[in-house]
Amino acid sequence: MRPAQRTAPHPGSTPGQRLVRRTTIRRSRREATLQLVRSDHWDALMIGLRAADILQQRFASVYTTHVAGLSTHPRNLLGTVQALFSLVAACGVELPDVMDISANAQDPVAALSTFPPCVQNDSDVLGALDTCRWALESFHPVVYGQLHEVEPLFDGGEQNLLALLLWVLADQTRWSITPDPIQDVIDVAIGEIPPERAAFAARIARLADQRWPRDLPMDAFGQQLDQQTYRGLNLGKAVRYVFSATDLPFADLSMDELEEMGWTGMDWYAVDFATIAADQAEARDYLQHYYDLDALVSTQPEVFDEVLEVLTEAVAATIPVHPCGSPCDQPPTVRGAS
Amino acid sequence: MTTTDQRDSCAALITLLRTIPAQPRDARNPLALLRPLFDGTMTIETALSPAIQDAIAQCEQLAYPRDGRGRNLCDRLSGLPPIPAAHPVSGW
Repeated sequence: MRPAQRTAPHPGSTPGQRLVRRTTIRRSRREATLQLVRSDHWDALMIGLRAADILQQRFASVYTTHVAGLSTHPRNLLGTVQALFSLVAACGVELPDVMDISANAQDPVAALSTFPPCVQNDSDVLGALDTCRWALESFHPVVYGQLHEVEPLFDGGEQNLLALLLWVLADQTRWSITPDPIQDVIDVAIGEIPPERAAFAARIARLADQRWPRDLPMDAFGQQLDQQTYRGLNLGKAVRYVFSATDLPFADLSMDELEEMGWTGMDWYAVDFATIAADQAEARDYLQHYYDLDALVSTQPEVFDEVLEVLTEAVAATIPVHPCGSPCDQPPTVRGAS
Repeated sequence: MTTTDQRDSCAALITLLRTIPAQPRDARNPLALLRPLFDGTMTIETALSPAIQDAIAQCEQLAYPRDGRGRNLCDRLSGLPPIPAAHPVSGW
């Protein structure tokens, strides 16, 4: 059955012409919608509105007072994104740097209308909003874990020798996280060390036959190290950090690992900013102990030796002693630096 | 020439039409609702209102139709019991 005619026919048109006209209008509207929805302008507005919505949910008073009445001009929406990031930063949370926007934790409201120099015209604004897309999809606070990749860690041969020392010693243990065979790692690291730092190359070469016992109880070893400080630095924190054994995701995961995992999956609307800020602060403390100790180990050969000695003593203190007076298991193969 | 009957019926029609609430010509077109959003003349508060969000959703549905088939497949897969393994899988 044909549908009933709903409109009176135009006196000058045939039924065929009317059908073409209606179809043309429908197609034109559809094409206009498609064009708009797939435009940069649409994307930018949606990103900005997402930020406004988060701001409304999490920082209601700022939203009501300063944001709700703003127009939807892209500059205002970019300002809204900046204000949101500024407010989160003011809670103590560190977010990854997003290029082309400027957050201001000291004055989040000023961030509504203060843009970085690279944002000059409307096109820059749309581009800047686009760079914020991934940061607004889900909540991504910074994590501080060490990347376990050989080249970036030892590039140039002047850094992360503490990590190299620990990787070699723990190669047989449960904490081993070396991505490649340890001898390959040693070869790469030595190859990066410049001639004027030959003292370090010699020390690393001597590590080749030194390993902690395979069944070294790592938890007890970590606790042992937690009790020890060296030049004011907590050895437990520095060592746990290297092996991603802090039990604190913000200290154990690197940004690259997080990216491979598909990011955090955290929900902007549900996370507790204060808890995240506290966890980040604790993770930064682990990083700081590692960073400071590595700065000594990687620059002073005698510190390299001393740290090896202290670690050796900690291993010896950790290994359970049999009632007969000898270690229950195989003796540690660690030697002090010669 | 218009007769009295014709004039009366026109007047009745006009009266009838006036009882219909006035609405924009393209009120059913979500794009028309969104025009101020893109002109930058709408407030952010209005842009977050359900009416505008609904219009945005309609436009996105038109551009990126979701027929639900993928979702249904995911739901079905997630409901499946785990595959029983007779032996531990090497390498896992």
